[in-house]
Amino acid sequence: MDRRGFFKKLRWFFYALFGAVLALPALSFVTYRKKRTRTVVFTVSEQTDHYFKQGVFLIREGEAFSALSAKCTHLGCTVRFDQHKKQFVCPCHQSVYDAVGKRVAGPARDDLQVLPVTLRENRDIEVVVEV
Amino acid sequence: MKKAFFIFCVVLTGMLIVLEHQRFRPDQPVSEGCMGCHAGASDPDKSHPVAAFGCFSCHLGNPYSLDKDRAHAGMVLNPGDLSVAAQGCGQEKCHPGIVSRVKNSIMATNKGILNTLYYHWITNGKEAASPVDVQALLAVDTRANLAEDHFVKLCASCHFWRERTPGQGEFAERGGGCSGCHVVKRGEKTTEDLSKFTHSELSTRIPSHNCVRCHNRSARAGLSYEGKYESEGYGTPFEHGQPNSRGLSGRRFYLDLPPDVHHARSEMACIDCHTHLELMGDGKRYEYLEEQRDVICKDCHEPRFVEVRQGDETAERLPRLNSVVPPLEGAKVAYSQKGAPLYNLRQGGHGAALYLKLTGKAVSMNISTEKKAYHALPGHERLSCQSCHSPYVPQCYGCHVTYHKGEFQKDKLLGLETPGRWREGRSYMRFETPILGLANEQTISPYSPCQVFVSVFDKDLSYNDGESFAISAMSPFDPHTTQNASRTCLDCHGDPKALGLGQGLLSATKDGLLFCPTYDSVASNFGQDFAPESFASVNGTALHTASRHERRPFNAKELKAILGVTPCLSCHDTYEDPIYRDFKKSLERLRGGLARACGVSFVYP
Amino acid sequence: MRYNRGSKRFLQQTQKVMAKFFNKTSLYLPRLSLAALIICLVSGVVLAFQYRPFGNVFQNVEEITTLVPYGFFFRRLHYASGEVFAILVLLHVADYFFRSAYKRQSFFDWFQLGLGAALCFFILFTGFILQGGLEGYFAGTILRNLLELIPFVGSAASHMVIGRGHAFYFLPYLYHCCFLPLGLVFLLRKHIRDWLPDWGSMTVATMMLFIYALAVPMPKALPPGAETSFITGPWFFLGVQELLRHFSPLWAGLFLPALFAALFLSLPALSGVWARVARYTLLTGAGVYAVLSVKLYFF
Repeated sequence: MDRRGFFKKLRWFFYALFGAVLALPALSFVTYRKKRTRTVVFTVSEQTDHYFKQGVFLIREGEAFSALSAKCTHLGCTVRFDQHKKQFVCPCHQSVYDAVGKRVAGPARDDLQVLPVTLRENRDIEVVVEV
Repeated sequence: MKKAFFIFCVVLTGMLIVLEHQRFRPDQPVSEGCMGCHAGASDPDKSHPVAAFGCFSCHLGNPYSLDKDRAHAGMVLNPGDLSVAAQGCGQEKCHPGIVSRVKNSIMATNKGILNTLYYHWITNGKEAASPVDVQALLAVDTRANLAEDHFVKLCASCHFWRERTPGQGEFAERGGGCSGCHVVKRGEKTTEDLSKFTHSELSTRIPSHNCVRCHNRSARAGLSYEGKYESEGYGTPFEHGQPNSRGLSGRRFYLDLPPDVHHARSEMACIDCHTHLELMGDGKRYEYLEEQRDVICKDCHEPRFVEVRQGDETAERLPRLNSVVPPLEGAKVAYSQKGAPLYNLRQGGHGAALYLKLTGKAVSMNISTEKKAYHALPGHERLSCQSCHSPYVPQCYGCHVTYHKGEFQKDKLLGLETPGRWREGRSYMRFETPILGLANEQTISPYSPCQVFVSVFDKDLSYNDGESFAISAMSPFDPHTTQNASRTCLDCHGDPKALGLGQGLLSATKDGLLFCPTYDSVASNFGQDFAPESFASVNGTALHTASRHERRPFNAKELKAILGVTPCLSCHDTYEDPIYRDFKKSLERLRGGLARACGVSFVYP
Repeated sequence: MRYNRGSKRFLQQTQKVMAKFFNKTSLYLPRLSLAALIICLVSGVVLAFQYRPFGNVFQNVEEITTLVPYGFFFRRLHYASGEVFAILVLLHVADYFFRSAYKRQSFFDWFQLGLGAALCFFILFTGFILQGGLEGYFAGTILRNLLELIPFVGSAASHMVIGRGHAFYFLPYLYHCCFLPLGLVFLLRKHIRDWLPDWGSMTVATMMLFIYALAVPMPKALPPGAETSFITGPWFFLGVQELLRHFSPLWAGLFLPALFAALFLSLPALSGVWARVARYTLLTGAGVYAVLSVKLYFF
């Protein structure tokens, strides 16, 4: 490359840079996503072990409650709970998690997300999920 | 040009990026835009927490915007203001029903004041004659006659439709619809940080201060109740050579008099007696105050305790909303004559108790069902409690009112100065013994004068004889100066003022009664031939008018009957005295010589 | 006389300068307006990534305006460029109307161009509805009810333009983003090629609109549930709004505007007396419309 060629490439480089600066606001705008949450309420009759509602599994151990997200950590399909094997299985690519959401087998790498659980005065349980 | 285009684009984009980063965005996602700035506002009260309600549900505006100007578009600062209350406090899921009641109530319509003005000034004796109320007057900008002009310039600061204005002082704090009563403490910005300001405090425990803001004029009920006597503007005793600090609005000062016993002994507030049906209205449009008034002395002093009526959730709800008065828990509750539960007066296992609504403190009530002689005397059936238990009434004599057509004055409803200026000056104000008369055929009540001498001046300052007039009227009301001890027998039976004749010498001659007033109005060129405090003449003709047809002074027959007792009182001075069991018969016995010798030499015919 | 000759020359010179100015204006007006259109299209595409024409549209628009990064800018840019485009089109049409350009064009060409100009304003009108505030909601409702008044085809026409219930904004959205712009480009296909903006016009338009979008805030909007005693539609329909206050909807909302449009579009087909009648009727009509608009807005 000679000097002229270098400066031509440099000019185009700066055009690209300027273009990026111009595009920045547009890209920022277009890619913004409002953080939204959904509250799933489990009434007393729904507070059985591994109860599924609106994308959340309620886990009950005696009187202790916890919640797991039903979204598979691989590519997002909704897992189902196998009552006999006591495991979560994802129908899409067969990722497997144990009864408390720990990853056991399959292409998924992370455990199922644990969700915060709140007990209300009227004995309802509320779980907040990010949408 | 192409180069210039790109350069401009880049420079302006740089500016854009800078501007974007200067814009406000909250750190956490917020439930509504308002919370982006105002999350730290204090709660108006326990039932209206900011975290649950947000701001939009009451104050409207734009709840989705994070930008201040856009968010505040359409916002309402006072959601209790009657013009917006239906979307504010009175919206469907909050307090529906109450707003329409309040709009029809007499403190919103001021119908009583307007009717009385029309009665005396326009229709010459027709009751309920005002075609307008406050709302109707707000809708137009012309005043049909002097009565309406007088009202809007001198009276129309005290009504529920009045918008609350920022600023200090009584005039600024009046009005505000729901907020006028229910805001017990005004909010303020504590720091420049908008996220931490103190919201106005709401409460159902309304302090008397909120009432006295308006009720310190006219009948001065609020002042008398607290033992304040509006003096003649001297502001004495001086403090450091200046008028003292015991001041009222409008450059008035006050002195001390014994307060009402309910205030002095039991520390009761206005709402401890006055029920929600009479304060917020019961939905009906009344023409006069006495029609809307609910509570009477008997409701508490001769209470009818009943089990809480089936389905009456108000009786259970009200103590809960009050939150300092204990819950009912099965106690029996007294009811007002209109059916409002007096939830603070109840009969439980340990007798009757009155709970103060502001503090929850219990005041023991000595209610005995046994009818005492002094309350059961034959002949005294029509006496209201106030007639004996109010030792004095504020009385304002000789109000000289001038109206200058060429000057301007603020129309309090329009908020603008309009032609015509009123000035008022009283001849004198007294806190004296009451004049008694009949409020209606079943009730005797204390009366107070309202004498208005209106002088109208044209634009060239010439006196307009045709439009000027004088009204000498008397009006009955509860002066709120109740004392435990009642007045003595002679205070009424021996006092011509109490009988409505006026201050002076009353003699019984063989030709009849003779009254010589202390004030010789004819010689003083007063313009009328009776004294200012004379409600009636000795033969019972009314010298002053009253603003209802059923209101009148004692007539000749009644005067005769009352004064017939007077000579006996010097010896027969107890209620239990047997002559009073059937006084007519006792008089017959006396005349027939059957009674024991009595020092009285003659009984006038 | 020398005085007369001098003043005659002054008049001639003024006329020359004015002619030059107007000629220049005639040249640049349409180029600027197309530049504005391009900016409007680009900003509209950007906005389309965040705008949703269903659910709580007002909330969505407010969030774009105050929450989404740079949302305020793109919204203002889209709004301003759209308004500028329509105003310049109006001036451009008026310019050529005064020059009786219709005399030199075929009826078919003039018809397409005129229809295209009308389409501009309907693009703006659907945009006005899509803002989601009370003004837009009422504007859409009024349009729906006006369309229903058309004899025989009214109900069908209104169903094709405004949705019912939750789908209220969806059809105007399709019109605003797709059908009307495509229609516009089709009708003006030859015209666009003639008046494609040069870099100078593009720079001026971009610069002015960019500065506007940085400096001037969007007009405040009323939430759909708000109460108000007086509300106005878009500025170009103020005259119709004023007519609708006094005359029956069929006449004020449909018949008179349709008559005006028909007269305008048929100009090339008229000749002689009829042409002059049509011309003066149109001018008077436009004048009256302007007066009515001013009256409604200010009084």
